[in-house]
Amino acid sequence: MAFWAGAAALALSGFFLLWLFLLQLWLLLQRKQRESALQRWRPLLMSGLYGQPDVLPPLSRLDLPHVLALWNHLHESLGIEARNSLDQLAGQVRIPAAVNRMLQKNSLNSRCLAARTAGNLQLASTWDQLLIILTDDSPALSLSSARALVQIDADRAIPLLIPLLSERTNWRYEAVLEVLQIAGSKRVAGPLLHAIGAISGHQSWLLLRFLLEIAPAEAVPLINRILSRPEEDERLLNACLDGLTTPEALEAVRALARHANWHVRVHVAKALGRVGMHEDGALLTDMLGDGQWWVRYRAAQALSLLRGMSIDELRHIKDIQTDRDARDMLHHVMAERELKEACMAAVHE
Amino acid sequence: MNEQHLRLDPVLGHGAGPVPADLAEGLSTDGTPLALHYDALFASLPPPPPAPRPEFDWGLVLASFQGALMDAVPLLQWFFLLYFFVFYGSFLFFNLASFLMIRRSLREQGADALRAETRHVIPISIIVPAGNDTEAAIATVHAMLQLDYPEFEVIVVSDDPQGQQQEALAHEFSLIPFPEAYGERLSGMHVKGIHASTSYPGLRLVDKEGGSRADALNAALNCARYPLYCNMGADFILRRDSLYAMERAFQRGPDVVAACATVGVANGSALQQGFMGSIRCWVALFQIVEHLRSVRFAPMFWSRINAMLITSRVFCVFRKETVLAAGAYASGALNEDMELVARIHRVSRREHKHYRISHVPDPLCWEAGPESRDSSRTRYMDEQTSLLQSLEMNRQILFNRKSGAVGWMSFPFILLFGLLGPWLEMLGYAVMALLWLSGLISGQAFWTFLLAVIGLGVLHSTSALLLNELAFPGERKFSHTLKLYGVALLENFGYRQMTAFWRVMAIVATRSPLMRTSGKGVANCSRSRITVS
Repeated sequence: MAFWAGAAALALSGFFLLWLFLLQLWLLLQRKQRESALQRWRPLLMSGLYGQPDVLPPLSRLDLPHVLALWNHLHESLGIEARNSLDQLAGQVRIPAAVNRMLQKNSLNSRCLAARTAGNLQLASTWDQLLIILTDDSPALSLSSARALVQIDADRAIPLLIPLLSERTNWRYEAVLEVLQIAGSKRVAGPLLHAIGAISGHQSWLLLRFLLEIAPAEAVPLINRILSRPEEDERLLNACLDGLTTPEALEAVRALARHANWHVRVHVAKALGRVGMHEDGALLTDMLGDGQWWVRYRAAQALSLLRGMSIDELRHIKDIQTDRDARDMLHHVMAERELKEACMAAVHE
Repeated sequence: MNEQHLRLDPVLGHGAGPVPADLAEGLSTDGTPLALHYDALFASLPPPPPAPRPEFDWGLVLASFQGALMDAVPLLQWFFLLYFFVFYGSFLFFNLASFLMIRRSLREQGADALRAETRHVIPISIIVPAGNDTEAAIATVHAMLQLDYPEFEVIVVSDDPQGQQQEALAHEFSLIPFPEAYGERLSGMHVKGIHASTSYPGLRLVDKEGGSRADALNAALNCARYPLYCNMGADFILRRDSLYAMERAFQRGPDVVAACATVGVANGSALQQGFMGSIRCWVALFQIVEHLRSVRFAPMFWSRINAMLITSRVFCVFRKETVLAAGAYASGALNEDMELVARIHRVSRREHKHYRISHVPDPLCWEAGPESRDSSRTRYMDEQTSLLQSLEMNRQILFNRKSGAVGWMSFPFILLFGLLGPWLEMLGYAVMALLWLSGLISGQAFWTFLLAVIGLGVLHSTSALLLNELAFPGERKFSHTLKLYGVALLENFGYRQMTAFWRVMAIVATRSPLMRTSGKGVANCSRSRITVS
């Protein structure tokens, strides 16, 4: 048995060498194929941007992925007129039919590329297939499908997408934001607000972050309402405090300055630094005595940012502190400000 | 009357010699009275001579030993053969399983068309312990400042008692004293001062009194502002976007507490027309093959079942609060990250925390591997000693009820194959050679054993090379791949055995009382190597 095991292992190693050769050959052919496809199709696509070329060669199956990648790249980087030309050109070489076929394939790359193309072409015929792959485990594929659905019919797509936002934890934040931005704030704000009210706190903070990015003005009443409930989930409170841009909810923010969770206190200090009044200086000075370094640091920063706070007043607050930690922190933040100015001066020089 | 002179009736069947007490009392075993006579003649007879002792027959002993050995020979053969089969078989399995996972992950990345600019990232603190080599530290800091990432800071820690290193760093990076409100969450050697750069925002220098590397890292952790941090080896070469790839692991959820990427070997390599350049140094080529077969793939499998332990040099990004909760860096640790990862497993499992230590498969980080046999030996011995120490310091994980896959799978696996493996490997070769030389097994059996072991070794190395080419196609020029294939064949004829011997010697040196008391042991050697970096 040992002999045969050894011999088989050596034979398999030899086979691996052959495999390495074949792999190299395949890579080489792939590269050549890509180069030749791009050499043939790039001028045609470019000329298609300014008017339809007279004769278009048939699009072969081998050329298809390379041409689609280039077509999508151009479609996503150019203006509306060029897009219309590209759409016409795609119709001439039967890209819509190819996309329908590709969406049913097993290959992840092919389906992603097809979903992207379907979205750019606004191919309504692919809607059902895109709905199926929207629930796929792969974040790349499901997000491509989400984007395509929004491009095809945003009004129908958004109600389907919003419930998924809190469930799909593997969807990248930026990618989701991009999809929502394609739909536009008017279409997204309402369903998002409704969803935030409907689901529990620990899931709604993510939706609130999206709302704050897409339609910050729409979020103000909701933020004020949530901040008046200190028992809310910590992440939801933090998201609200981060999104606070008006002083309407200042009373609620001040009340949170003694929240049991120090992360919330950090966000309170930051929010006060942004929207607080000069009289919030006393509260922030109190926060300089907090046990958490980060609360002290943010409170000192907020103090230095408060409206009407001069450097002399800040120095005075520092000098009258009896707590060494509070004094050191103010000294630190003042030095940081000077350093920042020195850095800016160095950059300008 | 002396009872020794009593003679029992011969019908009772007793011979000469002392009479049992109950019989002397005149009772038989069934309680009936016995007739006892005094026999003068019998009493006058000399005592019978003692029974002759059997003479020690060396031949007989040898024959019985040989018999036992002959019985044990098939068992020994099977034991070592089975060990090698399980060893190589498990690595082949891990490599294949990990390859499939990596390929899926890379395809996912490649297919992601929505990879628009990433704005919302978790900021990262980069810690650079300057060590003794000021020039290397300066070069590392310059390299770190060029990383492509939206929000990061660089904290350099210097403990040069003469202050020359601090001066050089201050001069190079326009550092001025900064009145930092230093929060000492981790105690350690006295921090003399903090300096901040007027040219590079986010660059700070921690000037402290001399101590261990762990102490330097802990001092930097006290200053670190961001939730994630990485501990930078001064000889690491990072890809410019490496922090993005590492941070992406943390985006999967708040339970991800660390992300680790293996460190590749890049001696003399430079990007030549988009490819890693060819390496001419043979020792480095052996290192590359070793890296591919041992650490390139297997961590992915262990990471999938959340049981990844570090066995070699890695580039890790940690969640700071988790590290602080686990007690940060242990001052005696030889490889701080290796020990820390094991401790995070231990503490988190003990406290029933939801946590995950991820492996990032992308090639992100490289270092210069040893180029001579001596430095190579030092590296292997260091790694083995660090591994031993890391496992020893966290031995409570082993077969602990709460320790899950770490305690029941990866820890025993590393113990058996990583730590005891070199011993069993060396013992296997030695025993089989001895059996052959003493004529207990035939030459054919010995050579068959070698064929199986070397064949499996070759299969292990070449399969790792193939999987690497399949996972990361076009990473190397084909001529370079062929060279590595040749090395994958050659390394089984001496090099692997030599590295196993070095690993054995590392443990012997660590365990030797002479080495421990003299203070010149492997531990100290490795300490200086890591510090110098």
